[in-house]
Amino acid sequence: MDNNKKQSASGKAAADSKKRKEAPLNQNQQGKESRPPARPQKRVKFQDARNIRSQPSDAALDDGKLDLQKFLSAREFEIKALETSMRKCKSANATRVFQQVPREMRRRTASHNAKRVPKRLRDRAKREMMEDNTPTVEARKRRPRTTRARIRAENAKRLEKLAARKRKRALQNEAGGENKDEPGKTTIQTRAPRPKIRRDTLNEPPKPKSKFKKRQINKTWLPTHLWHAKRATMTEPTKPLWRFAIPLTPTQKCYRPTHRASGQKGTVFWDTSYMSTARLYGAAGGIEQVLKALGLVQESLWGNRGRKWRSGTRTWSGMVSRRQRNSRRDIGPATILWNPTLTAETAAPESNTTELKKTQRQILIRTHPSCFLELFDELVKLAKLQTPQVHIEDLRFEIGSIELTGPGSTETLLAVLKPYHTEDRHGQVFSSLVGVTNPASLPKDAVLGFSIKDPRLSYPPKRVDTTSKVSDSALLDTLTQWPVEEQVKPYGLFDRDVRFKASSLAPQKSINRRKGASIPGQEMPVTAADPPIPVIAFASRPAAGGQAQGTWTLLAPWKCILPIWYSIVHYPLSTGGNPRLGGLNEQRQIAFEQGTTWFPGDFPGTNAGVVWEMEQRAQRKKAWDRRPKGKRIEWASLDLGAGRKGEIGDGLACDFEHLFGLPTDPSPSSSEDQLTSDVDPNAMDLHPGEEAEDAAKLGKVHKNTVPSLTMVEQMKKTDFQALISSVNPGRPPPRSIISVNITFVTRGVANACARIYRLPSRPSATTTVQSSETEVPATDPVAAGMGSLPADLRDQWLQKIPGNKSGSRSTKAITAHAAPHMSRDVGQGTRKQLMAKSLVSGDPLPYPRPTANQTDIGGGHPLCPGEEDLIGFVTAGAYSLSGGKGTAVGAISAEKAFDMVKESGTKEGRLCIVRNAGENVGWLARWELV
Amino acid sequence: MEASTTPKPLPNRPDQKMPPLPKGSRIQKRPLPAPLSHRLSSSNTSRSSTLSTIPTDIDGYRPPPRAPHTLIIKVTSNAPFMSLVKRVRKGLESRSSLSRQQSTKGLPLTARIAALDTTSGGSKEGGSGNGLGPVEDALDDVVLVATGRAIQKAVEVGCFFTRERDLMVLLRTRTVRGVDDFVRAEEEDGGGEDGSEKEEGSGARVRAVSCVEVGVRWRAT
Repeated sequence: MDNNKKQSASGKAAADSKKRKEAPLNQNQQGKESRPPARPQKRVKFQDARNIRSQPSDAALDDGKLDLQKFLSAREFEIKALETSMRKCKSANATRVFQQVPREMRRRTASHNAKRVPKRLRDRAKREMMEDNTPTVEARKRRPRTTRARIRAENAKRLEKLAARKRKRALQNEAGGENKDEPGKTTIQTRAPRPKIRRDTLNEPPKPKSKFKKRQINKTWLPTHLWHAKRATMTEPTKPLWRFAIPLTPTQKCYRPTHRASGQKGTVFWDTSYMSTARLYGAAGGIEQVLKALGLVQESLWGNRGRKWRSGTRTWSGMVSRRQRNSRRDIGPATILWNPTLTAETAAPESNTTELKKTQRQILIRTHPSCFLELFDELVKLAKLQTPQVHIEDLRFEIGSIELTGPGSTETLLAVLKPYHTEDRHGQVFSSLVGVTNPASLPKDAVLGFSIKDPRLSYPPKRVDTTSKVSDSALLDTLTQWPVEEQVKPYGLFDRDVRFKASSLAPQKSINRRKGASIPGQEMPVTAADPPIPVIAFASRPAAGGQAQGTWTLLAPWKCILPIWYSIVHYPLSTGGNPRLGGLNEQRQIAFEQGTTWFPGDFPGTNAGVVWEMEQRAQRKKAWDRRPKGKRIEWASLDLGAGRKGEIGDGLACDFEHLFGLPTDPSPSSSEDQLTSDVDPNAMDLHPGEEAEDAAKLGKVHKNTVPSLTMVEQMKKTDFQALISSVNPGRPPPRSIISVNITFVTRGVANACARIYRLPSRPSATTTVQSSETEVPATDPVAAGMGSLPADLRDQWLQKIPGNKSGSRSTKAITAHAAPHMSRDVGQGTRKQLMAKSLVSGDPLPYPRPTANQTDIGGGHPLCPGEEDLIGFVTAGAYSLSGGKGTAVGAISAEKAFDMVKESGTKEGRLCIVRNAGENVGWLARWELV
Repeated sequence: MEASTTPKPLPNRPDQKMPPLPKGSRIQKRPLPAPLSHRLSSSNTSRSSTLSTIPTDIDGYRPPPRAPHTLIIKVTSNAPFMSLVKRVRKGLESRSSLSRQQSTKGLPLTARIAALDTTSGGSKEGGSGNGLGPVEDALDDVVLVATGRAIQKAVEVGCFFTRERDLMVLLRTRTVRGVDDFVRAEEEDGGGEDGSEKEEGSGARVRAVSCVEVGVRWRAT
């Protein structure tokens, strides 16, 4: 009995302990009589503030008569009461202090805890906590609740004991064996082990600390992972992207701030250490052959005009490709940089070409991780063919990188990167860039390679003084002359030893100690313990050109990224604020706003793009499957008007297979409409073995089946333009696509997977168009209702262009539906008669009423063209903040685009109609090559 | 604004013309430099010393310094008129004399202490007595900067604000210099594809561009 009682009592106590106790002030209330309990007091305050006094209106009635003066004064009083109440409510401070913390700082859990708010607010927070009686928990003292947590806690305790024992033993050893060790220490000197870099094979990622080893089994962390994991949404632990844990987007909402920071004011920066780097070294001739085999065949690179690139003061960026059976297939974008040689100046004139080709040179190839394996294999294959052999080193985890864009990017880099050697030419040029607000205003693809001091020595970074600049003519001289060629030295980043030395930076502890010893606010001097950090910074211009912002890319040794990162994060920009963090989504957003493509998402013509597209399809399918049946789009029942039913192809995919009549995969995207996948015999002209190889490279997603999407090829903008401008052109290769940037003419916003149509041809020309070979088989049920499309559909669409003289609205369509308008002079009698007649005659309204799209959308909107006019798909689309209207990036069939431009000129041929998947309204848009 | 005694060639009528473009070359414009931000620092440096550090324009004109709080709006030719008006209004409202408490955030300690002394006297009318007319004139609250086709728009917006009694609108002409690349015509369309395109036939040169600054500020009360 007693026991029971005890238990119940303790249970009660436990239950009580879960509730909030009274504020501590309450308990010693007897001592301090002056103050009433805080919480009730606050409630009274609120009630008082919110209470609006009023007077009943019958008070103003005097014997049934209204006393106007009384009545008015009562109302006056009421209004005043309302106003005071509003004022009081505001001052009653219904908000907690942590709600005033700027949004970017409010990111941790338990921010109600006074210890989590900034110092200036801490006192108020403490008081509020006291008043509200907020329970606080110290994580350290919390008792483990789950079994797992208990086991962990026990383990920790045991480990602590172990560590203590170990420490003790070490101390004993030191005390006892000091004299014995003395001679040994002086005789043998060892150097710290350098990481192994094997040539011609892939290298292992750096060995993580044992504490973090388990979390990096199937992926690698970026050097800034721990920083990012607290501030950004990362890829899912089990689903890394390209074998990396990559930050996708900051936790904060940042769509519009990113737009501002990338274009108008501020900086966006990324840790792009996941970008892969490889070093190719050997005879210059061999390297040239390898590069030419990768598709760098432009004469402008190898002639006199590419001298600056070959001397190492410019980069080359573009698509690299590999040979297939009888064509070339794009691998992905790459940046290629030569290491300057000491003798570059003398070798420059075409003195002795054979000797020039024998000199040992090195290049750095930087590419996207999604296409790295493909490129690396190709490089190894090509390098082995050269005599003497060219070798290749995988420097993926040796060289990391940071990218910055925005007006403040140059300023930020200037504050963080302090040249180590003052006489270094590139360092001098870099330091003279004060006042540059756009990396694109540097010469195209400019490179600066120099060594910097440890950024922790000047941490926190100071604001760059732009006011002390004497004249901007010096800057203009630098920008026009760009004096980096003379006395150019080989870049330290290419050298393994230099990289290694830089990686063994002084520990933070010793930096702190030195900082404590020096005068506050002063920059610490460089000592022998601070190795120079070799960096390469290159500026790239946006493909869009114009006033758009360029990008800085900073390459540095993998282990030096973190100290540089911390300095960049905390740089106070001259325009206010700090640089903004970006993730993968922000990178895509900025590319989209500049109207350029983003790899791999916008390149379905490359293997990496195919993998991306397949993953996106699976994701969309999963999201679609999860929705209840009533709330998801039924693709089969989509009504496109004129008797057409069902979405064209798969609504959840950029269905290029459907466009080109390729066999569909049995993969996750199973569409409702049964596609007659009659395999074209000559559609499989690709070498099956090679395709299988590709599939192996593509990795996990499709192990057994090669997606037929890989048969689609990407066509280059320059090739397409050359075709168009040539007098006697051939045709673009079948199943090739070109990337386009789409801008809506009037309104409309496209999403990913939106369908792109060309303008329907006029009836006379229909027959010629339909004869083209890329036609989808006519067995498709969707194409059956073609006949009922209006004959003047093209003109209807053309009328949608604003400023088109022939009437912005098709008036015919409107009058067809509105009642016939009677003229004014029709008499009342006749009107009545007519109306009665119309009522009696019983000309019934059609039932069910025709859907909006069948006859008109919003008053005479033209119908979507038929399936034979489908030319491509949108890969990224949204409302563009920079354009002020809907824009999109997509890919269209090169053949059809070629036909369009050839038939109807560059102006009308660039018009297209974009319809979102699952919708029946299309909008007029214009496409532009990118 | 100092009158130089030696006759200087005007930028629009230089002594030496630029050499003609090499045959087969084409101009490719780089982005224009950002509007100058030689601001008067709110620290203890005297205005005259700040003045001397301001770089002169190509024609020897030394533009007046900007107040630290000035909002600079770059005008593009296709910016909607009312959008510009609203941005100017917003800038003016946040910079009205009531709310203009200069922030000393990010300044060194000494500057902060110095700012304490000056703010007590009223920071706005600091230099009225010492004959620095142009300096006072330039302490605009909002400045619209425009070149080329956008000049018309900037002037229109300026005119719009002249009818407000509390505001003062000042218009200055300037010359900014932009950099042009000239590249070989056959390789220009390469965009990112064609890579480095500098050789002896191509290069860069400086071009002078007319620029208009429309300063809008509250009339001193």
